[in-house]
Amino acid sequence: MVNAAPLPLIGIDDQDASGLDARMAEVQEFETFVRNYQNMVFSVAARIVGNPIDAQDIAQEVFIKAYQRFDELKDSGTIGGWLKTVATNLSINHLNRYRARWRFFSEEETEFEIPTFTPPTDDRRELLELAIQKLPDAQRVPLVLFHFQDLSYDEIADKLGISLAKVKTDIHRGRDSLRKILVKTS
Amino acid sequence: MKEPNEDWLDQELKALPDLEAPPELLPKVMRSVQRRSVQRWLLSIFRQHLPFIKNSCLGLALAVMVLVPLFNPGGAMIGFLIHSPFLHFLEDILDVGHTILTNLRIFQLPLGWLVALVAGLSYLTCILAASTIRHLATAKRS
Repeated sequence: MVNAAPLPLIGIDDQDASGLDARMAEVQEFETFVRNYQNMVFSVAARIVGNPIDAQDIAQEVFIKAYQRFDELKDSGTIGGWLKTVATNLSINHLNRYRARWRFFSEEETEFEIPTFTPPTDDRRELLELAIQKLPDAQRVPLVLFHFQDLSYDEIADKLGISLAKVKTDIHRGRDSLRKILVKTS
Repeated sequence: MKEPNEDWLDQELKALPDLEAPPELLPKVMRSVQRRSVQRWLLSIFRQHLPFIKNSCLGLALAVMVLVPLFNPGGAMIGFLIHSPFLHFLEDILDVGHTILTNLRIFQLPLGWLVALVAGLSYLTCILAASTIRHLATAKRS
């Protein structure tokens, strides 16, 4: 008796079904990955753009990019650095979309008026976080890149497309404003 | 030398913990990822069965090439058009028009000739008028 071999038909066979299971397992693994890194990615974006709503969209975009390269990234030891770089670049791109506004802040030489606001908390760290958000873009972005991303002045100048002197001045002004805001609110 | 305030600021900035991501971020990301995951799975199935799909298309194309001369669907379509009442009506109309143009005579000339003559003369008149106007306009400008 001759056993007829099954014809290859288009449809979901066992192999495809196991492929689907593998995908589902990968999605679950990715969910754990997002849980582990969401705070870091969100922080990078929120501190650069100074707006939690935009930061959330940026963080989502970062994770979608990560998912597209998850096969290579999950076994890589530099995943945190990769996420930070992508989040930083996307946040700067987001600010650059409003180029006119960015330039306006970047080139203005007038003194930044220290905002007065009632702090919702006495926690010094939370106050500092709020104070960073209150800084103008041109001061906040280089300051965040310098202090939180550990980028050098040269790298910041290169990333933002501004001069080295401008970066130094903006960071200095940012720190100055930050101190004033904190003194004023405390 | 750094001011004491700056040292404090440096330390505080360094010690700042990550912000807490909003709770809706994870579900939003996972919804997009689920969609993409299904797309990737379907694409992988398509890629896996690509040779079969290609062969099926080729087989179908060959079958059509063999079956077309046998069943001659073009002939059937032409037959349908020939027997359609609209074509008969059009044929009758054209026949009547031809009869009128050749048989009806005015000043001993067939009507068809007269129509052609009037159309030709009108065309010539238009051409002459246009060229005269253009000539006059050029002369006035110079």
